[in-house]
Amino acid sequence: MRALAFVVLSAGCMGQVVGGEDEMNPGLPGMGGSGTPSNPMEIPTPSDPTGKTYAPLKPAAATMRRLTEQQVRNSVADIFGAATRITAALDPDETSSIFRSVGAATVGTADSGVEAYRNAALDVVRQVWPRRDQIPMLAGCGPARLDEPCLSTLLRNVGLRLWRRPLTDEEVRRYTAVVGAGGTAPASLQVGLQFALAGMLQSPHFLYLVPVGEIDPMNGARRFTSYEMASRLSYFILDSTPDQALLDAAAAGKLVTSDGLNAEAKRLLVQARARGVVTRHFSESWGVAIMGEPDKSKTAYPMWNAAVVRAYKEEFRRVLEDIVFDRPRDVRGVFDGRETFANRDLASVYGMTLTAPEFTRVSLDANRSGLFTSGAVVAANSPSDRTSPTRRGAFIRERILCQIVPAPPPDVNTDLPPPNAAKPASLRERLEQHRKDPACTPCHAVIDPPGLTLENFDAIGVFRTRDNGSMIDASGLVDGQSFQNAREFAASLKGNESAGRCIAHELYAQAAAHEPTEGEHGVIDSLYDQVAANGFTFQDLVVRLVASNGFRYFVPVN
Amino acid sequence: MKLSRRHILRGMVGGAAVQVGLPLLDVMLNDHGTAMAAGEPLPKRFGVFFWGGGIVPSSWVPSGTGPNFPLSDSFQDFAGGLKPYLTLVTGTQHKNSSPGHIPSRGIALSSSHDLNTGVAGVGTYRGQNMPEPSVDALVAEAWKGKALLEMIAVGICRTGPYRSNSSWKRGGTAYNRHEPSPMALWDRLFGGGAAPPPGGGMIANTTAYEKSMLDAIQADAQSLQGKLGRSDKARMDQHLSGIRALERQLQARTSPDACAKPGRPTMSNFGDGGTHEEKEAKSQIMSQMLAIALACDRSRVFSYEFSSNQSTTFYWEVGVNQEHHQLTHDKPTGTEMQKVTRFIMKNLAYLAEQLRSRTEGAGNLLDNTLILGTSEHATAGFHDYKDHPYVMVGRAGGGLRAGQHWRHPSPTSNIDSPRALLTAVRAVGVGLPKLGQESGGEGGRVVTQPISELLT
Repeated sequence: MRALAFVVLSAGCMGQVVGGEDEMNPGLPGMGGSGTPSNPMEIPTPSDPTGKTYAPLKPAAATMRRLTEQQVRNSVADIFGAATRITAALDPDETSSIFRSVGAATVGTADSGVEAYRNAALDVVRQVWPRRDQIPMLAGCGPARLDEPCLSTLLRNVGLRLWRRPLTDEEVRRYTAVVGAGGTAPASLQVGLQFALAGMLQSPHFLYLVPVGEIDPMNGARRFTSYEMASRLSYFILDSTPDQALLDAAAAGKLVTSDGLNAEAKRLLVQARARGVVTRHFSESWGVAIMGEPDKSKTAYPMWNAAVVRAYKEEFRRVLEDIVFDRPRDVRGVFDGRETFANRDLASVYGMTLTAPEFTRVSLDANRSGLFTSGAVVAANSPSDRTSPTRRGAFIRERILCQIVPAPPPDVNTDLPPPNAAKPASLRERLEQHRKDPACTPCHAVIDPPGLTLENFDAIGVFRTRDNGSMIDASGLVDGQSFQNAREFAASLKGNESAGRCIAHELYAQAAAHEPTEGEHGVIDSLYDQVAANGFTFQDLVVRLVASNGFRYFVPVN
Repeated sequence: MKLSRRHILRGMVGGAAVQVGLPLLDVMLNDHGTAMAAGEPLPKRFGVFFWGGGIVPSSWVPSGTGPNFPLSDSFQDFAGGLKPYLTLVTGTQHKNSSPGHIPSRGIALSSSHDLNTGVAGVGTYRGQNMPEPSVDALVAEAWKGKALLEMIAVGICRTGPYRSNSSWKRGGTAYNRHEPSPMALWDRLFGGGAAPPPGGGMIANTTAYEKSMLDAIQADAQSLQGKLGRSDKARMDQHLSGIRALERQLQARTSPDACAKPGRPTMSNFGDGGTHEEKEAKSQIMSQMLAIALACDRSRVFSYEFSSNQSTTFYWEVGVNQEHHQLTHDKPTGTEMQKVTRFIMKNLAYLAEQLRSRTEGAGNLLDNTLILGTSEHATAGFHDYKDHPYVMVGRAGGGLRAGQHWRHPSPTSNIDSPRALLTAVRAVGVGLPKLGQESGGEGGRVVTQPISELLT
């Protein structure tokens, strides 16, 4: 049974999932009935330079992760060339767990999904085969005979890239048999080789990251192998398969130490492909990834269109990459930054005048603050034709402060009284009536106030001062502090310890592909302190995270 | 191609390898058209029709019960020939009201949902785990190997955060993906797979290679089995099962196929994919293909996801300018919701009519089919299960006393909704002793008693 014990913030309404020593996180990291970890080993968490100590790591269970759709596509393009594009649909990612990586650790594949992988594999081979001479590991081997040495070399080289580890002799024999399945004439072998490649592309060794691990001789705990770490590192930072240098480092056993991981993470982070790591994180965490043009009523918002959605997502990406890669600085600038990037589409929504049509760096006006008030974040967390302080408040509580907001109790009427034409009322006023219901008060008194600070932004993120005729009051009392508007509230988030810890907690969850367990909180506390003491940059957080014990050790599940 | 009855029967007797995938032709039936010539009864088909966002009980529940019940507003499009096929179960509830849409579709379709063992935290990551399969997958499990494809899943609305999660296999993590493209559905059902294999032109018949390729993948998967924990082993088993399904398809390729295939659709108007998503035309094309595929015995089980739980599609067809999830919360029982429900049922009626119009033996395909329609909630705006909607269409090959409205005798004080699921499963002849799984406080519940008044 999962025991729920949280820091109670308000009359049994909410809890805190991260931070604080009195925190108790729900029990076992079990994955859907997978049993209990069999090895409750503890690994010390290093103290910080000031001597502060942390709870030891009790490694969490690891389950196999299916590559996400994008990871399959990226891997194939990295291995066989950027021109290789899978046109068919792949089995969709599981997105109900916020992070795709977390969903990938539980999702299964039904018949239709296996079929889709088959079709994609054949599609890839059809594209790759005609240009095999331009792909070094495929070039120069006909083959003319089944026992030609070049054939097994080819299979080993392709296998190493696709499966991210060396093939066993038995596996080489297995796929050599596919090459020869239709006879040994050279033309037959060429067809057979195509099917062998297609088979390797459909193999579970390609489609899943399977944690097998090995015993660390230093402490007897189970750690991911050097090759397994190459995949963990690469799919986290690059969203793609390890490059040859990373596989070389894996072969040299460098990825089972914190130093080796630190060095490789830094090497990967300077690659252009690594820039996606930050957008992937915040867009999944903050709902921007699944926000789209279909989400809004064009009747209510005639200016909403595909170009605006593109501009919103582009602004979001550019600001994050600027903070993390171009001019690396405190990542909490997502809350209080004073600059953004805008093009004409964005400027028209934001009410700016822009001289250049393309994206350029601009100052935010006095009403906006960081990405917190950006169109992408506001629109992603608003309904289709009006605002919802409750939904926005729940977003802030859950995704920015890592607090738990319970779902509405059973059978409550969530129907807001309709606007009364004779007596216009702002949404805030209508909500206040709703909150008078004693069944609703305890939670809404906590959930709504942070959301109300965003009332100056309509459901597509346009700034406004009036709602249904009434002047908007965006003030609020949040956790004992009062704010006049969104900008004040957002600025406070930068110094809010819960918000800072939440970034570390959320990134850890995404990287490790599971919700952090109680046994991992010492590692996360330590990460937060170190990163906060060193300028709170996102790259530093990534590097320290992948080098931490929490990312390196696991326990097998029965 | 001309096929003699003897030719096909020989094929069927010859072994399972060629038994799969054959069209169900009149030549395979006995002289009365009431059973297969070999003496087996006509196959039954089972499907789930799922939509997101619930119903409005006041416009859903007919005012009278029994066989002569008057059609309620939601079912006006079943007037006429479909009425005798329409069966309504109303007045039932699930055990608890649940935290929201995603868990609720688990309870509505499997009477099992377990937040406690989900990978994710309550409220934070909301990972889901349904220990029992959705009811369609439960039937597919029982009928495994009887037809070429274990299941056909089609999806109409593409808008919403949780598309294609209304059909899942045992263990709750492997979803039957609802094909959203009519063209891709045709390729799968009638085109012999999505695309020709590579090596085109060099070798006429690639079957030996494909077989060998699948063997190698299976060996890969099997080599991992010993290294996996229990849940991962189950996931790998599901993957292996999919590989074996590809093998069956390979074998079936050599069998005669006299299915009268439809032309490949060329739907070009999907609307704007959002506020004016094209639903009805697409639903009609999908329904036509599905009916032919069932008639040809491509599969005996289907899942039809008209829209996902918490769907955010806009029902512009009935003049709604709000995305649906928000409409359910803003105006949970209003006339707009009523119009939406009727529109969705109109699409179910179209699907049913496609089946009814296909002769099979002495009757039609709908006679031998049971479609179970449901949603994640009753009144979705309240996240409740009060008067949970369960609609059945078809006669289940005589297994269902179809054409009546059965209302629970104690409509406000029961937890009998899962009995509707068990009734549907029993009606198509799957003799499960029980259905569902108890789960702490989440609404899953084991039931052993179907609604016997509805069974023959």
